[in-house]
Amino acid sequence: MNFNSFTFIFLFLPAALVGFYVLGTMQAKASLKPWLLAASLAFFAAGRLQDLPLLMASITFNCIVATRLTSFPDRSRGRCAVFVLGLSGNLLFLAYFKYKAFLVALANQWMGLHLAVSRPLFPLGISFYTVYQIMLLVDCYENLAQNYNWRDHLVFAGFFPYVTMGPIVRWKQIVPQLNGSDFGKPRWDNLARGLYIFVIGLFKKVVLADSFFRWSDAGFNFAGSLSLVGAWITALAFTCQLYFDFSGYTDMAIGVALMFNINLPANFNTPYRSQSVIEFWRRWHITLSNFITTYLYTPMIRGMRKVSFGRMMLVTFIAMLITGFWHGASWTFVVFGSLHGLGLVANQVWKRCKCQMPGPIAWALTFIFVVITFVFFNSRDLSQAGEIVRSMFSIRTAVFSYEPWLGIDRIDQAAGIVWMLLGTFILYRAPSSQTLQQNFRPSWVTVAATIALAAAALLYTNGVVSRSFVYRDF
Amino acid sequence: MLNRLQAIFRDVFDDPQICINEGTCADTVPGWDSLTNIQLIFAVEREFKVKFALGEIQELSNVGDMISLIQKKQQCAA
Repeated sequence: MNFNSFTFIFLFLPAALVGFYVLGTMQAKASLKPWLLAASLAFFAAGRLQDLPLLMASITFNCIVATRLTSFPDRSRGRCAVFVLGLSGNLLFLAYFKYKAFLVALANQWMGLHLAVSRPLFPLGISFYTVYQIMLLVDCYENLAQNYNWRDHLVFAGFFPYVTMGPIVRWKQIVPQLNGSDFGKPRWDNLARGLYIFVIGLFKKVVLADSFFRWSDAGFNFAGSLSLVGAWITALAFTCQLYFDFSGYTDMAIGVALMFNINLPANFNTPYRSQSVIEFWRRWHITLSNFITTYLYTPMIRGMRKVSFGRMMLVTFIAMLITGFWHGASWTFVVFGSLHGLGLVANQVWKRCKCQMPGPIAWALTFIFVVITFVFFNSRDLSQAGEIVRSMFSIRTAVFSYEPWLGIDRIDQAAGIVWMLLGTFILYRAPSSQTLQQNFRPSWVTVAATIALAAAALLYTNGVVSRSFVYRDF
Repeated sequence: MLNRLQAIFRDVFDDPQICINEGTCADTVPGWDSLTNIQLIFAVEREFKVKFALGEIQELSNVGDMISLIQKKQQCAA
């Protein structure tokens, strides 16, 4: 079940909310968390039933480790050993279920083995729930997971708005809200604001992202014969698709959680307006960037005997390489991460030289860089990415020729262009969803805007085949 | 404490004119990114002889938070 499906919008979400608030008003507070957990497991099972045992296994393992961690005294050997065991268990879990096929193929290629390679779908949500449970173990180890108990862990780890695709959350951000006095009380302001943000996210996904998808998908399928203009249209369409897809999902997750009186952290802050690669990563997938900076980058630098600029740059590159690989078990993601690592290093060297660049040029260079790296992000393999990137910079190919999207129906083309122009306006001029949420005031204008966006989004949900989210496969 | 922190900021950002207050944050100081942030953290840890937990570093949103955390750490150590 996806957030952009009728089943979720008209059946699952209303039922989950009604049950939640009926229990809340009946003063049956003890039933609220089991209700949320049951709803979360039902949501996950409806998404991909066969992956539910893996989620349960991961939560059970981490519950046991976290409970043991909090029972040992500070700085004891046992505490350290349990922490290392928990961390290794999570990494092995992720390596086996997400990277096994990639690693086996690599072993076959480099060591001349003939092991069977199967490429199943990645287990749903594995990259996300593993990461935020690792953060929980670190918090337990550092005594920062206040009032840890396994019952709250179950709800924290399984909460359906973020279990499949984030945002990546910390215990401290969620659990105090589960135990707050407001939890379970009907808050009309939160319901209204949540619905408003949910509808904005739904519109971003089904109208904007899916319109850009038709053009990017047509282009990627024709990777070998794109003209220079065609290759740029393809890459730009995917860049916009990815933003509206993932930020649309995040808005929906934030909106749904808010309806249950839970505030989730922001994940995007108009990233395509960035004027440097450093700024881009402060605005793009913010919760992942925070995780990488705090739990990967900082310990790696702390572990060095002598810290120099060169070593810090090496660590920056390695951290981004891991970030790329986290997205998927493929060479395209390795290249994506490496390019961003190199981009960040180049950016730091530039800053160190105290060089200045006019804002519009800095923006253009950053955006072009991001567009090129996203070609690798979306390509099925390096050769497809290479074909598109070559066409983007080759003067040998035709500047403009017959392009695959000319085959798209003319009415769809016209509608697509209208939505894409609107999307481009949103990218560069409109306030971010975070700002819209903060400035939300119930008024007739807000009601009218919400109804108009919801009507357009539901029309598109009904009219076109529902597409899954890009990040759902990570 | 603010004066000692200011000296650290001026050194890390290589800017002798920089002036900080409790509300100073990454958005108000040009060049405050993950690299300078970690340099700041290490310099503060050295200066005040404290060690921040990873989760605590993530929670620091401005200089005021940093001062509160240093004071908390120093009280715990005393």
